[in-house]
Amino acid sequence: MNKKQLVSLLLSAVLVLSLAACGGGTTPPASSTPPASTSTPASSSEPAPEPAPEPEGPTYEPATVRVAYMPNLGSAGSLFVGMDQGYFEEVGLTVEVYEFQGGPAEIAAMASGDIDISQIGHGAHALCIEGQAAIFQMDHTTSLSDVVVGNKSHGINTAADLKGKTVAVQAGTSSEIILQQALKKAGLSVEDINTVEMTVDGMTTAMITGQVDAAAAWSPNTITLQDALGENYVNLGGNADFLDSAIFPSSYITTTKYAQENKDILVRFAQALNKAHDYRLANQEYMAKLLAKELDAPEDTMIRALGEADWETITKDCGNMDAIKTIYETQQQIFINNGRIPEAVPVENYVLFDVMEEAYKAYSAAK
Amino acid sequence: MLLIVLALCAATSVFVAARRRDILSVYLLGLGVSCSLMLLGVIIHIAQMGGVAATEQTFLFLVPEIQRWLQFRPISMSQLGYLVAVGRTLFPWFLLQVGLEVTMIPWVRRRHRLVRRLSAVFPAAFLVYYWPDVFYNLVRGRFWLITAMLPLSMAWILAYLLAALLLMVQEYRATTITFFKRNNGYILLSAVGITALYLLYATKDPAQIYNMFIGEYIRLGITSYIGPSLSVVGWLILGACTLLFVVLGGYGMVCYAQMDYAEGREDVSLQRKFDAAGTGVSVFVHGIKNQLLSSRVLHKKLSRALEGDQPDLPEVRACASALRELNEGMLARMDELYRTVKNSALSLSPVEMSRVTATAVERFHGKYPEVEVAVELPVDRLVLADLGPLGEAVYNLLTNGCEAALAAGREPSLALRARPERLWTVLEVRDNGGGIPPELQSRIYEPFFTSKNTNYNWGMGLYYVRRIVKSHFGRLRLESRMGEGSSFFIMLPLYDAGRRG
Repeated sequence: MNKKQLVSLLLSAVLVLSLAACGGGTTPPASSTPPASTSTPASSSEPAPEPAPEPEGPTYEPATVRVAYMPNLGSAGSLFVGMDQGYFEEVGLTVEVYEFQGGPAEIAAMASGDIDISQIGHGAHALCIEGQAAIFQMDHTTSLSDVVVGNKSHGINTAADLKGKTVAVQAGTSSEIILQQALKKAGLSVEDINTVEMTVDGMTTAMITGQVDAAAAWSPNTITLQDALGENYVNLGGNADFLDSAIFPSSYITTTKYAQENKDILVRFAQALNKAHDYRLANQEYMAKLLAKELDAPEDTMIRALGEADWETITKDCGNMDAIKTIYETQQQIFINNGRIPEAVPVENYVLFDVMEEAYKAYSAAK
Repeated sequence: MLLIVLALCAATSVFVAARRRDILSVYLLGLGVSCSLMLLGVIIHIAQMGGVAATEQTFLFLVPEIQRWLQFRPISMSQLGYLVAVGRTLFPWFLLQVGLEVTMIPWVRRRHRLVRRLSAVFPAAFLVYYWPDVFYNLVRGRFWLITAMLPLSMAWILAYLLAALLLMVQEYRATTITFFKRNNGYILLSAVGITALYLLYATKDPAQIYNMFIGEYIRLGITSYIGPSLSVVGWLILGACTLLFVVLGGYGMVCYAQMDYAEGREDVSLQRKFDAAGTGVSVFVHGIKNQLLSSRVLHKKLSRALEGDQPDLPEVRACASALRELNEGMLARMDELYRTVKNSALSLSPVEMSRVTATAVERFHGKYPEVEVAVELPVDRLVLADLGPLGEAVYNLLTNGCEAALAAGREPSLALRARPERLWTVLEVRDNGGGIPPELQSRIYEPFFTSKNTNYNWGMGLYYVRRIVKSHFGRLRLESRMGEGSSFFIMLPLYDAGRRG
């Protein structure tokens, strides 16, 4: 089943590539100096050239959206680039951003009506499959940011050494899935280790101070750990190690209620994201610097974290609903395999393909 | 800002406990600490989970650096969640203990121990329920438990809070003596302030911090601690209210601590002064010695008058009279000093208040037969007393009052009024003297302090009265208005003849 899906995914990708629907040559020029920013709530102060005059387009009813993100490139990249470049403003949207440390917390805040839209990583997609939220735009096809980090000085060199050790993890996140995969590969299960629930920042400190033996963390904290632990840092498994049988997309989601009442806003938001994806791919270093500034993180760390996601495939597949459907089906299978989801759920139940398609059309038309 | 509030809250509680060192202050300390624990846990949780708007960030952490610092604390979610659960669970229990401690409702006081024990049942059960391992094993596969336990926990928490506040309000309303009313008022104020602070986050389920069944919490629609939806104005109002609550609570607690501290200090100071009364005794000895020297002179005079064949009778009579006066004066002073310093044990027995007032008035009329004393006894309650010393104490107050009125050039108008007040029986001695200036009010109980002619007064009267009242497990309070007169309140514990054991 997995292999079948992957084959179909690859076929879709090839098909999309050949059609060159929205990516490839249509991405903005990969210049080292980015296009100008327009005034948005989180605009960069870095100097940028004057924007080209925009052609007369459709007018939009102004709206404000409250968006949750996590402070890393994979989660915040397209959002901050979109704001920096004024893509949301172009479609009449004012974006208010809220920083969270995990997808489940974002969904909880969304469920209580405090947030309209959230950017989530792979792990929190289980909650969408369970019907807690609906996906309306894929942000990237796979994350490469999650790493199970071990401390060699605690006698850990491979995932098999984790047996009986204390491992920090945050339930419901993508890194928890990677930990499960790494343990499975080493012939272990979660029952064989002592797990401690911690946030990614907490576990980073706990690793550095030696309070835990290993941690299921993600970028850019993994880079912080790499620097702090030095020779004692060991990668026990990351997303890249499981791409032969799995895929770890990230997405923008909303509540079913919000989707029903504000489809137009979601379409406009997704349309701006499509544009931001192109810009993100073409100006990666600029994005890293922008986020370092916006997230108050070291610039060097952000630049080193640029490899934490596949920035390219989404720019090619954004109009191919079959390819996107395949990605979500493959992802769901991971949850089914590890028991997180009891039985398969039709992807259409929680993915708003109509929003994606409409946004893609508007984005293509505006180009 | 909430961090500052939290620090204030904890510091005030510690201050109160350190100053008062009584059981009530221990409960108030528990109240402050449990509220602080809960808030601290919530603040760290929010810092770590994120989702805060700029205004909320200021409200919670003041500056982003503090949030960032908290964010990186390696605290497990289980520890954090349980910290919040402990604070949330213990607060209502402590508040109820404060209520039970303050109340004078006889039915409750008689069943104090039982009520205390019963009140521990819910908190203990919920502390077990929230223990992370227990919670995980109990709730896994039985998610209906979350929906059942959350309202149940809110129900008992609100019931405890309500019961405690009602007890305090009732006590406040039922108290008429200014001192006690103020005391209860401060406690009520601090309780209301701190409870309002507690309720900011008490309605949330601390188990969600464990991050164990996050999907279920979302599915069940249980609200999280993170709520950036409040507008800027909303946060400002919340911030202002929080500050108000903590200032009110803190003010109440500090005033409450200071009141008893002042009283305690008074005791310490009196003790110190009486310890230093060796000086007083030496003054006394010196005075007596002078009088004995005078007596020697008189004896010599007497001897000379008797030396001749014909005694000088007028001189002999004069000497005898002077000697008698001198002797009586010395005896009276001896009696007064002895009565004050002797460590006599009192013999307490149930006595009707009317007998106490009658004894005092009788003695008073022995000295001032022409001065009337208006006695008011709406209810003749029993008190546990030693009739002699207590009557003597009341007599002392009546005498003081009468002399104060005479000194002010007024016709003495004295009133003796006994009335029930909560768990006390209060005997008020009111005069129409010139009043006691505020600066002297703290000194009048000192031994050897007197504002009267020292040939007749040794300044031991009020010290003696206070000692007697304290020996009866009572309190002596004074309310005085310059130019209008003074009222002394002797407050004796209620004697309940029907109580067993």
